[in-house]
Amino acid sequence: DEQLVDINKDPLAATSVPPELLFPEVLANLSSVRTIEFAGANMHAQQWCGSGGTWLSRSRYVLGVPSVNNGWTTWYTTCLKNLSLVELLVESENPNNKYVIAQAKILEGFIYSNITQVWGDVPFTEAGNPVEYPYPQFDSQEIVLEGIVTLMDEALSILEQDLDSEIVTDSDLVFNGDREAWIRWANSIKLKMLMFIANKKPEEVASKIQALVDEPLILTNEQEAKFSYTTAIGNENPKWRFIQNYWGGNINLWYAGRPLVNLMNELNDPRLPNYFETNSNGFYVGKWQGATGFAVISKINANNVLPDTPDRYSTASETYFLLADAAANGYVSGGLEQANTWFVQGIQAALDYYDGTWGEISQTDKDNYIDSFPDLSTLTPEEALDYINDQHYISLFGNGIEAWNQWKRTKSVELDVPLNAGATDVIRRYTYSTNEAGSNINTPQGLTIETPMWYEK
Amino acid sequence: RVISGKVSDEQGMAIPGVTITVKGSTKGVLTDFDGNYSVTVNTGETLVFSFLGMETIEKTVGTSNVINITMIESAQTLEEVVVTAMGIERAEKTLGYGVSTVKSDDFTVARETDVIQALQGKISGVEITGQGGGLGASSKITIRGMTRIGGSNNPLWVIDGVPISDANDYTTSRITGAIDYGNRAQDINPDDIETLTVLKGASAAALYGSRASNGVIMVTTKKGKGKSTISYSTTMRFDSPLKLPDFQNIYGPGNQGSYDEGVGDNLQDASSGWGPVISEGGTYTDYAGNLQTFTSNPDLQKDFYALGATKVHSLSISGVSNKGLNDYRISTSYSSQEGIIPGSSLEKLNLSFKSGAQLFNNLSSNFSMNYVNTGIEGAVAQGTNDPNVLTGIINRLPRTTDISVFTPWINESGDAQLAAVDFDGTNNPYWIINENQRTSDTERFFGNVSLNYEPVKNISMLGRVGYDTYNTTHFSNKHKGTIGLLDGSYTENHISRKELTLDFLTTYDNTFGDFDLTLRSGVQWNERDWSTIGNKGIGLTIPELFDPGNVESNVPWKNYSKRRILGVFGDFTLTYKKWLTLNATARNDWSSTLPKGGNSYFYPSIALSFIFTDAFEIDSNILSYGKIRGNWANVGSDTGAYQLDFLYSPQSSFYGQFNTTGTFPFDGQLAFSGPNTLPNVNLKPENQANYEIGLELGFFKNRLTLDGTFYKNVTTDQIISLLVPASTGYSRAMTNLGQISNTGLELELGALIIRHKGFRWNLDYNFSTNETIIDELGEGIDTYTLASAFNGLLVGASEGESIGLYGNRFARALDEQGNPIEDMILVNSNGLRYEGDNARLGNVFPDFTMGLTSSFRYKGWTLSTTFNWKEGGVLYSNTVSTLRTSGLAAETAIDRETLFVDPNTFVSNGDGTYSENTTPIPSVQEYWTNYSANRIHESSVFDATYIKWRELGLSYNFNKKQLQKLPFSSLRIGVQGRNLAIFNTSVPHIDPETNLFGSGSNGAGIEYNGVPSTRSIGFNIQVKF
Repeated sequence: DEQLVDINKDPLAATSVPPELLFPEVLANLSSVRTIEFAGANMHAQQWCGSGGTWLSRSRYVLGVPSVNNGWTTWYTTCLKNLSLVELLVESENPNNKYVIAQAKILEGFIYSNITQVWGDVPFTEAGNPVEYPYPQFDSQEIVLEGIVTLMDEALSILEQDLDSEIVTDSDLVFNGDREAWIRWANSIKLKMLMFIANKKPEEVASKIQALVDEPLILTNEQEAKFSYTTAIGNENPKWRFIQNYWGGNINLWYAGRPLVNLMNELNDPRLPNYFETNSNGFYVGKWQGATGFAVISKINANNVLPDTPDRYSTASETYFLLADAAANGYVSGGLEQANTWFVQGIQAALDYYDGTWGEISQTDKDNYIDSFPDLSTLTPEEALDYINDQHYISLFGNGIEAWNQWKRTKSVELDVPLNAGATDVIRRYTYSTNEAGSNINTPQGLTIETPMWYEK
Repeated sequence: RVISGKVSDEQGMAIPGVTITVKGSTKGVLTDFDGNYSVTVNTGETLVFSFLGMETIEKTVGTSNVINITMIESAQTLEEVVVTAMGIERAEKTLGYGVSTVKSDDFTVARETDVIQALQGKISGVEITGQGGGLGASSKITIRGMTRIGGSNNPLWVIDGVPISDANDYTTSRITGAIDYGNRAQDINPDDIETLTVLKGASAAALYGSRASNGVIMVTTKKGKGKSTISYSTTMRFDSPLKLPDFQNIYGPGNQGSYDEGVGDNLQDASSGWGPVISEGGTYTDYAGNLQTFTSNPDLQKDFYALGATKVHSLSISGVSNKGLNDYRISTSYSSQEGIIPGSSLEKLNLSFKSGAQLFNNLSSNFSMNYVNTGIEGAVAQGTNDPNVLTGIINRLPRTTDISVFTPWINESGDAQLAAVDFDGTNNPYWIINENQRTSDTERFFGNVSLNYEPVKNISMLGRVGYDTYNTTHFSNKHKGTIGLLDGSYTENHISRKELTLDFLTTYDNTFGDFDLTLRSGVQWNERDWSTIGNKGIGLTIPELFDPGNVESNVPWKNYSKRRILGVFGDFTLTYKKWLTLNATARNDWSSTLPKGGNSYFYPSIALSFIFTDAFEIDSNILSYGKIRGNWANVGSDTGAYQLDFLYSPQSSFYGQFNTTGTFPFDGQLAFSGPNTLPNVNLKPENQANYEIGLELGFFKNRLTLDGTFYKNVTTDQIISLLVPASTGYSRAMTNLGQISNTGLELELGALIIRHKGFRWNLDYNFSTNETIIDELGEGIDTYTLASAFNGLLVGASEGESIGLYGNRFARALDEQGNPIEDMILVNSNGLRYEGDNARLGNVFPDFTMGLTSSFRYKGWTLSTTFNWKEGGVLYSNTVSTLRTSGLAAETAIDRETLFVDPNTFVSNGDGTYSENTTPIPSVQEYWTNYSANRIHESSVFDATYIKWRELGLSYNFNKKQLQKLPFSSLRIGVQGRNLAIFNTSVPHIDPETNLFGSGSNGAGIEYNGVPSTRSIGFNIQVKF
């Protein structure tokens, strides 16, 4: 009997591993969903426009049930599950390594921020605990956003202490174990979550936002939190791999979305040639989502989809625009003057992002562009916010999920209801994964893709 | 007096081995090889001539010294011996359970290369589904319904007493470009089969223990008999698509009736069939870049498919030697097939050797070995999201396409594709066929050695070693320049499987007065070991060099599993006066896959057979035979290897949609992951209880026979890898769960309708119905997913229902409770239907199946035909959905200009009330693209009922006289057709017998870019020397 049973040990798997070995799996999968699986978010933000196939479908709000399932399952199982295993492994192997737990918590919070920006109400408090909660409840977006803030606070309280703890370095593909960088990212994530909440409950969170102003935040392009793809085969940006596989690296089905192009044309934005190609007549022209006929429409500039184009998690310009927004709204002190300072710093960071790259913008162009804006302190708060949020929207080009949610939060630009989509409003959320709905009796019913997010005004 | 003579059959062929006894005495002789006999008897005594399968003849000795006898085949032989579990031979009369047996002729007359397909329509209680026209693709066989929603439902295959593998190996996911390389039961050479017996109930198979709960298919191979015979047969067969879609040939590519390259339209972006009227003579630039005038090509698909051809040569040499103490049979068979997909082929070589020897008086041995080599080229990919899915390309070409535009498909320097369809990554079909290989090569060996020792009278001991192993290599590549993977890639996967079975069996057999007693006990050791190792190389440097060193990145993988079962068993059989038989068996298994201490389980069975016609001495001309049988059994089973521990596994890749999967190490870093399936250290064995009752009746001297069976089986504590909410962190969790029951009725009718002057007309009919009900699923589980396909389409189980197809339906009006109202389909403000809830779309399995075989014989001629009827069940067809949304299906061309109001639809007033829809559709194109959209499954789900004309064969057996001048002792020629026609089907465009999932999955009822099934017509010659 002993001899019979003892063979039931898998020779190709381990019962315990060093926890840091789980980080690359989490990060690579997190970004694979963000960059290619949910590339349609660029169409939902109407910055990109699909001309055919899957991408035209995405423009028409055909989300692809497999994609929805993949995104949901990957983020909850592959990413969040492994992060909770990191915490378990640390506690069982070496409980002193609290920094590793903090890193895991920040990633966990960032992943939840993605999940709630796509789906709204999602399992949070009861998630990731199959024994106790086999059918997790869906928490309101309010609870999820507040929960992410709490996760950041927990992580920060660990990282801000000087502990005798190891930190994940080589397997940390975001910051290579830079503790300060993790602190900045946690604060930036916290700022963003608080700004979502502030849309609904400004009084309750204003002081928390104010407190963040003096905390370390991501304020330079070098400090940006990102997942860096490389030119090594198999490690390239999945969007590039996609176009490489199908069209030898040329962009074929991704064109300019109308609202973004119109806005940038109006502003004579120096980033136009970085974002788009001109059409055959030398103009930048966008398309109404869902329509066909792209002969005179601008394509996305292929330089935005290079092998080593990173997945940008949290950027410096985003921090500045959020701060400017907070100031203009009066959540933080300094009024519109302070808002203007951050506004200009935000544009500056967004334009400087291309320094030293294929898309470097000349100093003259940068200066002219920044000078073209009025001093926000001379405007009404509403007018100021309009400028801030338009710039924020423009700066998120290529970051589909962020751009789409920036629009949902601020409605700064007017988006079109797509043609041939059978829709009456702009998409606000994805339908729940059919796998989840089929196995979790607590999955909410009756939500449509047009149901607004909780945080929307 | 010495009486001599010759015994022959109706065709005049000598019958060796006929038993001739003198009635009332123990005296008896056998006919020799030439059918001659001589016997010493007294005048007035009666000679009884008997032979298995022939009607017994009595002849009183008169004045003549020569008595020649012509024996005729009996209508239905009830004295047959059946090979039962563990290779035990028992008289069918004494069996307490139903079995169905198919004999060698059924495999060789209309020779199928696939054993399972040859069973279509011939036996009750089994459901067989082919995979369409892909060469070498798997056939699924399920006996008495699905007993498990988690584990496998495939029966155990046993050859000459030894279990062999029927694994279905396929590459990649079932839904994305799956290539089905067949199931391994296909390795069995149909020419080697003597009998194939299906043990349907658990009672029949209880001696196999845990592996018996899905029934057992027992194959007994031919062995050498009589004088040395050389037998040769050849079959030549031609295959063509049985059913191609019904296309419209009026409208070309474009949108809303227009196609104008002046405003930017091009073939790549246009819909295939929503353009202008072809005959209006517009122009377009074809895939090769030439300006063409629209012309309709109605035979586009026909022109693409090739005429398939199959050639089979079989040779065997067999006989006995050493005065009948040794027997031998050597056989070889070579098949070569070319499929209807150009360039697809299958080659198979079978070699087998079987021999028995009486070593000493009380010691005999048997030896059997089989070698099979199967090579498949150009296997087809099904599903979607893979450049190699061919049917999807072919069906979606505009009706204006001249298939010759795709040749040549590669430029002269061989480095770029020509004439790509290029819509969403669609390649030139001939590029796929000619540049992208999909091959498999399988070598298999199976065989056994046994020793039978009889130390004393009534006791025999059998020791047997059985071994089955195969190695298969699957190879596929995407040539550099394949849209979807322009840099090229190749995938190579080696699978190796070994199974060792050791049996030791002791039998005690004796007769005490009216009682016949048989006692058996035995031990079985079974070890299965499976491994796979493979690599995907991405980015080829030199295009044709498929070597890990020639690619830019490699994603290697490796899997391994090993499991063991130890079983001890006993069998008790007591027969009283030949008419009452009680059979009880017991087996205990220990499995390596279950937790220590909980891995032992016991299976009892009991069966009773009562021949009431003999017991009550009913001897009427009407009722000639009557038997009642009943049984009960309880079996169970284990699970797969390594399901208990929580394991972290190294990762070599991370998934990316649209072929963007990336590799680890990432930036030099390795990656590990916890399990996706939550393991369970407390798993217990599954349990299945079986009840069966049957009635066998023979009328009019058994010219009419009836065999009816009612059964019920209940499976509890199923070991399931349960789909759990991903929000728990796991996709699945191992658990014991639920209860599923199958209740069914089987009926087999045999009739010899006419027997007159050498003319015989036999009819065989079978009927089966099986209802699978999920009695219990477990708390909180709404629907358990057995297999999922696309966009929410899935095969699932819900409590209180049968296995069903679930998918998205049209939106419907809601009643006050918020439930959809069935006949109130909603349309949007454009008058178009849209997607509503995800709900049950119907049962996957049929309500009943029937088979009818009729055969006429006249002298040497035999004309036989088989039909089978499958009633009920549903089928989702993606092909239909695609043909309709793309405007290519014939029905989309009807009234294309008419903007009708979708009848009987409603619009929501937004306040919970609804009014009748009065808005006409905006265009016929939008109507169909919404109605048949692939996100709405309801509109592409059809009643899967069909009647298929399976077989028609005409053969002629030359008689002795005709053969006198020929060097043969027997010659048979025949013509035959298979899958000749489909009737009574409401599934448009495709053959409803199809299954995306193949035999390795529990999925059914879904078609996705399947290859058309084939109709074949051929001829066959069989000679013996």
